[in-house]
Amino acid sequence: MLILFYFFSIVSILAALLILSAKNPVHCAIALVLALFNIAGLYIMLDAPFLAAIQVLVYAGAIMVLFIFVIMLLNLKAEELVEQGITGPFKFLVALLVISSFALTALVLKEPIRFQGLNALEFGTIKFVGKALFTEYLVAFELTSLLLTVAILGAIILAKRSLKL
Amino acid sequence: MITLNHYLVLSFILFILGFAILTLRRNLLIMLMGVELMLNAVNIALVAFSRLHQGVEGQVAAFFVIVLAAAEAGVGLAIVIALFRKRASVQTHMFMDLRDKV
Repeated sequence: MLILFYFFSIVSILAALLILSAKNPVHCAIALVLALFNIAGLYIMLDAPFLAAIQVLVYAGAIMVLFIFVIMLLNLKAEELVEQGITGPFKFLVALLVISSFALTALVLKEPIRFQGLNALEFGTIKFVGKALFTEYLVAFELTSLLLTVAILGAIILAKRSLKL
Repeated sequence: MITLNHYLVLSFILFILGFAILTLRRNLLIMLMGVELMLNAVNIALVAFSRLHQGVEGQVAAFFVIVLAAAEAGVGLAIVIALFRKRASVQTHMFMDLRDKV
């Protein structure tokens, strides 16, 4: 199990580093799909099979297809992919933030917190999550449909050709 | 033995990497990917805590985060398309109209 965890986490971190460094947005998108698949694997290890399925279907399936679709639609030329350099002090600041935050987590997480065995067999299944979504969190669940409708309307209006910016 | 700490450290590393992508890259599409990575990093922590307490709340929150990410990606990419129509570029240095003159 530990080997699987390290495999999933190292591949997802490497994919994230690839997004940080790759020039071509298509390579970045493929790397992000790789990272999302590995995160879905981690969800399965955390006994959340429903979320793992949603992760693959919605994230790796729908959202990343949307990304790649837009990249293809824009049809960027090679000279448009060259990015302007980032100023030195800013890069230094981000590096400092990264290193200092690693040190901080190592400090905070000294005591290992172990997971207990599962109480209920159905933990993380569709039944388990669905029951909560349709009883306790029904209002929030219905509101997400409103959110998605607003997002679709906004996306259509923004991407309409006649928009005057 | 995998502990909660493993997942939290991974979540943290991915969040910081997503933040680095968002701040260091200058391509709007890749910056949006950085946001997606940050949302996913938070999701890992939510699911790990849900497993620790064996409660459904963390998984429901992660579910809503995924819905939010879908809405955000749709609107964000529509904005990118609209900006590309205006300036024929997705690099952020083309969109500095509101920036103070240096």
